[in-house]
Amino acid sequence: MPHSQHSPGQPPAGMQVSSGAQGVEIVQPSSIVTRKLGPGAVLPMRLDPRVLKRMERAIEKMADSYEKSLKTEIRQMLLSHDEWQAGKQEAIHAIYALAHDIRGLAGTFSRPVTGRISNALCQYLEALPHLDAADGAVVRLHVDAMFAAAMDAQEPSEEVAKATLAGLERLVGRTLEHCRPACDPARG
Amino acid sequence: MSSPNPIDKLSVLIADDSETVRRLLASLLAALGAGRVFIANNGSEALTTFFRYCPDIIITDAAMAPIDGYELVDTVRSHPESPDPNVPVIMLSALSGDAHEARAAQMGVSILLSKPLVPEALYKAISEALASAERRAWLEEAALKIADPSPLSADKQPLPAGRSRMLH
Repeated sequence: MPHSQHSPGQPPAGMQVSSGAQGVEIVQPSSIVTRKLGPGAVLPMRLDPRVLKRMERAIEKMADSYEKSLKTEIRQMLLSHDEWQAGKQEAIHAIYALAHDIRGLAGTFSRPVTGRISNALCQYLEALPHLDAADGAVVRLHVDAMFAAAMDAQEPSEEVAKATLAGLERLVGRTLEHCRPACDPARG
Repeated sequence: MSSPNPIDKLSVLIADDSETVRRLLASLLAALGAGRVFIANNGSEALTTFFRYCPDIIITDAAMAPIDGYELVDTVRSHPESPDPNVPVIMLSALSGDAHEARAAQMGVSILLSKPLVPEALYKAISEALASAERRAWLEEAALKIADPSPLSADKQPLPAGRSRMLH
């Protein structure tokens, strides 16, 4: 592996050392910004609107392919849910992995509602030390809500999204309250 | 006068186990005009690339296997042969919460960038990560001078890892 440490007794590249009055040494460390961006670069950098447009176009170019991939992932979640309910325990890990991917990407590709429902599902699964039968319905309703949000060309309105998320949140609360006394942290 | 697109000089290492995220980041960095982009599928590949090419900045996911983003950053910061212990690191993650943030800070992540990714936020994170790395390097230089006031002596030792993390 290459070394970048400076040679003993020598200042690192770019570091200036000079002797000031009364023995005071002035050290000018190398500037990372200058080294990486070139002379004259200043921070914070200003985003050129033309560059921003290019970035937005780059996302648009990927949007069709992401739409297909998102729909495939949600269908896979439905299949994995069926497998999980049929007793294949590891299928829930596949559901979580898919939900985690979707919560990270859907918002970038104009699917923020799908992303938020997916995030709610991830947080539910992250909060539980183990899953039981009652969780099957909760997980399924989240996946169904994602399916409904993602399958149309346009996502539901903000009002519908808020109502859906609030409904799912109430369902999660009731499930944890009535079906999961073992989730009491004091009982491990 | 500075370049209208200062990022055209930057080499960037992307580490993410999601193919879509890797493609997205590579496309956005290409649109930004980044000088060179290295792509790694996980933390292990990222470390190999980092030690070989010493990129100017790293953008990494948090959750990856076999080496995750936290371990990647820890190694970059503390390995005795790290080619650039102060390299700016942006951690991109859908995770949230105090535990994630505390761990990222402890490992020396420069900037946490939450998903979903938006272009302006990525650009701002690059700018802030560079500023953070600059501060970190200056503080380390200053700490080295305080620890050893003789001018650039041959026996300078790097700060203990814990110390430098506390300073940044």
